[in-house]
Amino acid sequence: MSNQPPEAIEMYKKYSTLLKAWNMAFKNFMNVHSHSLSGKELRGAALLKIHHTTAQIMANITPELDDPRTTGAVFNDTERFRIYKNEFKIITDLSSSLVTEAEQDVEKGRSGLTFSTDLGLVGPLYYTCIRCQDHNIRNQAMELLLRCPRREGMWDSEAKVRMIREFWEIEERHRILQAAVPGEIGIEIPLSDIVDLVFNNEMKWEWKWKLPSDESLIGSRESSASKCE
Amino acid sequence: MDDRKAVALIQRLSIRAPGNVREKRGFQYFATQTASELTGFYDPTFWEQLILQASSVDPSLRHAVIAIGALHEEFTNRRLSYYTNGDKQGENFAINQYTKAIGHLRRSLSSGKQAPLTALMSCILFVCFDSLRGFFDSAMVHLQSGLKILRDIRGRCDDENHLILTQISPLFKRLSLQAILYIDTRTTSERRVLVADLAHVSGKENEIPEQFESLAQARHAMDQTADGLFRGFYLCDGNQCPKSNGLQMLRYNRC
Repeated sequence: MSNQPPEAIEMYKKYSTLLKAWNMAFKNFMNVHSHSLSGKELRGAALLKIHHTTAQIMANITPELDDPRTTGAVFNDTERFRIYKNEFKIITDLSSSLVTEAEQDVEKGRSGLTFSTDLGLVGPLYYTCIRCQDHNIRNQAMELLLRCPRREGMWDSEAKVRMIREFWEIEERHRILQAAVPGEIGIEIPLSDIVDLVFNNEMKWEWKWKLPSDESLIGSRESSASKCE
Repeated sequence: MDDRKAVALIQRLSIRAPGNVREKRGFQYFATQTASELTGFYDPTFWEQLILQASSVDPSLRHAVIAIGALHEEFTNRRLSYYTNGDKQGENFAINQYTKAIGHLRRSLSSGKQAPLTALMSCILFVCFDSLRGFFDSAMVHLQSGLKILRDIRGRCDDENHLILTQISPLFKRLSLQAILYIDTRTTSERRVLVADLAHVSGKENEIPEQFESLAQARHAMDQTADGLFRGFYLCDGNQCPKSNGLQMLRYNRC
């Protein structure tokens, strides 16, 4: 991170400190007020906690100033995510109760609040599926995305499910290839050096192989990963 | 406002709203179903009061809310999917309303009669519509237009200042937060332009207390913190890292 703009480093320090302060202020608020909150407010509180937990993992995973590796390598160092199992579990546990309550609302003929213009559950669940190293938690996040369709601004649960499934395939190919050729290459090639995410209109997305040479490295898979028909 | 009064207001607005039968019905759908859906768990002021009142007098806003309501209705009836080629009638109606909304905004902008607050609300609705329909480039264009208006009117319009601070700016902030994955796929220079635009909206920040007094305060503080954290991420230049590219928060940045 030391080769990034000083302003970025300053902002990172400031806001990751605030993120910790937020958690304390929220805990104290819940200790005092949780029993007097309405059902709707409690769900709002759960969603805030989910967002906080996701942002906290993102902040924690940011490279240390003295890490000599590229940021890409650090962000794709899956080992770094392994220690956040408990945090990912908080995300899926709280999401699970929100999804269950949404389903109960729908049964009672009320809206499950699954259509919104703000960040909701799809973003954090997507992040969990892509980053969490515990496969049980990942699969639980996927199951939650499948349980009820949501559209939250740019986040569409159906599209995210497809993106995640393709990402998992790419990740697995990458893992097998890395395991097969370490002696020859000698270094780990971060997944971010191999594929890009591209969005086109009407939610046409694609995990796009970056360079022809990478294709030969990773095998002969079709370069277009888009399945938007 | 209690429920009965709210319903009475909605009925009055819907009956008075101009437009053809389908548009009247669309406005009614937005007012009775979509507005509370978009409020979600939190403060209803923007979607259930401000937008309803403003769209009963401004044609651009009215067509835009009808458009969003129509998308919502399609979603509720399981007809809004990127992956099926079913009945597109409702979606086409939505797009038609959105086009009308843009046309009205253009006309009032060129006549110089457009109040900044109304223009800002139009931008918000267009960002919402384009995000929900998967037109992310266009959503970002509207977002950035709104951010520019916000910057230009800073310090002016005293009556409107309070509304802008408490309702409009936070909405722009949240709309930029939800765009993180898309922004993450943009070039470093595009992201830096956005960071500069966003810095104006962020404005004066509240300190985080030892204990939040309300859920609204906690939410505001969370938005503010995530906004600052993300802006820091966006500033990072992938080119600074040999071979790799970007900070790759949710996933990967391109150079």
